[in-house]
Formats: sequence, C-alpha cells, structure tokens
Amino acid sequence: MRRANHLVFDDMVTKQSPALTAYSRAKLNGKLGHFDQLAVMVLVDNLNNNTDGFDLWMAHSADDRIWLYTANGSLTRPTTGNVHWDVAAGAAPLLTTDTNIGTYLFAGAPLFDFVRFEMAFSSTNTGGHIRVYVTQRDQGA
Amino acid sequence: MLRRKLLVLDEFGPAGIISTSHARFNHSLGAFDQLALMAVIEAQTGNGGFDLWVSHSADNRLWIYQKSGTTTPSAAGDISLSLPTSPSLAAGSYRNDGVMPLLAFVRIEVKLTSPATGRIKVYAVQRDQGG
Repeated sequence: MRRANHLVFDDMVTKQSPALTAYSRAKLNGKLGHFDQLAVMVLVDNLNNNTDGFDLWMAHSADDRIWLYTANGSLTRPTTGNVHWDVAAGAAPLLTTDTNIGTYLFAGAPLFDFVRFEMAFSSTNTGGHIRVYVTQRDQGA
Repeated sequence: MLRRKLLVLDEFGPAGIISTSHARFNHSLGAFDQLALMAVIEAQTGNGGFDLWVSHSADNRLWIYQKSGTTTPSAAGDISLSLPTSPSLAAGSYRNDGVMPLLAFVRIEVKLTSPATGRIKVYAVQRDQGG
C-alpha cells in the first residue's frame, strides 16, 4: 500500500561549468530508504536552452556517507541515469515548449537504509526548474 | 519495509586472512527475508582484492556458502572488488531479494588479497514483506 509521498527536490538549477549536480534534500535520505518500493516522478521545465539532455540517478548507502548507485552497484556514476533524456541526434531530448515528465519505478533488490537522488543536465549551458516527487509503497503489514 | 540495520564487521583486515562476522549476529542476520550488505574498505595500503562471502546454516554449526551451494567458497565472493594502489576508498554491495529463502542462520566472511590491507566495515540492512 502507499506509505508516503515526498517532494524531494524543487529548485532552479542554473547553468554553470562544470555542469552542476543537484541532490535531493539530505534530511530525506533516511525516509527514502524506509520502504521497499519507490515510484519517482521528475518534472523539468523553464529551460533556458534550446535542447538538452537530463539524467536522474538513484543511489543508496548504509552509512549516509558513502553512496553506491543502484544501477551498477558502484561508487562510479553510470553514464545514463535511471531517468534519462538524451540529447543525441534522433533521441528524445528535453522540450523547451512544455513541461517534461519522466518516471522511474523501483521494486528491485533490497535497498540500504539511506537513499538519495542526483540530477544533472547533460551540458553546461542549460538551466531549468526541476521537481522530483517520490511515492513510497510497501507490501508489508 | 526496513526492519533493521547492523554493523556486522568493523575491523582492520590483514592481507590473506579470512575474518568472520561475530557469531552473535548469526541468528539476527537470518531473521528477515531480504538482506542487503554494504562493504567499505578504507585506509587501504597495497593493491589487491577484496571478497565477501555469504554463508547460511540451519544448525549454526555447519555452513553452506550461498553462492556455491556447497561447503567450499566460490573463488570470487558475493562481493568481489579489485583494489587499486592506495590511497583509495572502495565499496561494494550484495543484495538478496529473498526469492530464494535463506537457512535460519547467516554469517559473513571477508578477505583481503595480499598485499592489500585496510579497515573493513560491513553493514547489513534487513527488509521484510511479512506482517
């Protein structure tokens, strides 16, 4: 059943070089690791660039200090995020004319007790407004 | 949902020596269906490797390695890391989703391959879908 719904990030990310990596609020790390299933909704709008890519990665930790990415189990961030807009030719980049909506649904192997999200635009020339919601569910009583 | 977190091993690991989680954790580690282990190696000197094996038992006396299904460990552990020349920080994870049940008792073994030495921490996070 549904256990919680959090707005884990709601801010403008400005363009800068090197590209900025933004993180979900640290005070939510413990809450995000509490239940087994996570559904993530990402909204990106108010872009200042014509077209760009965007990634959101999920990472987890048992000590709230050293983080392993859930996609590869490594300290090294995967090239492609759990939510991904691709700027490559023929792919699906972010739209500047509408709000971009992405989702990531997690119900996999058990997580550690701290979870956080990282997000970044693909280029150093893009800024925009990012919102990330996380819904938590559980199959326990 | 999240049930418990345990720091099951926190010690300096000499090269080539197998360290086992304390026996007082054996019962606790087998209590819930899902198990996630995070191994962190810090203050490392010398390159080499790190392996962590999960074994389980129904009598807390004779142990079967989960990966190999026998009393002999597999060459590479459930977590197997290549450690570069120091200084470095290394971490790896093992995540058991509980689809294949564990025996009642669970323990962890770790080893640093010579000449690597370092401080090893292993956290165990337990989850369960039961009531």
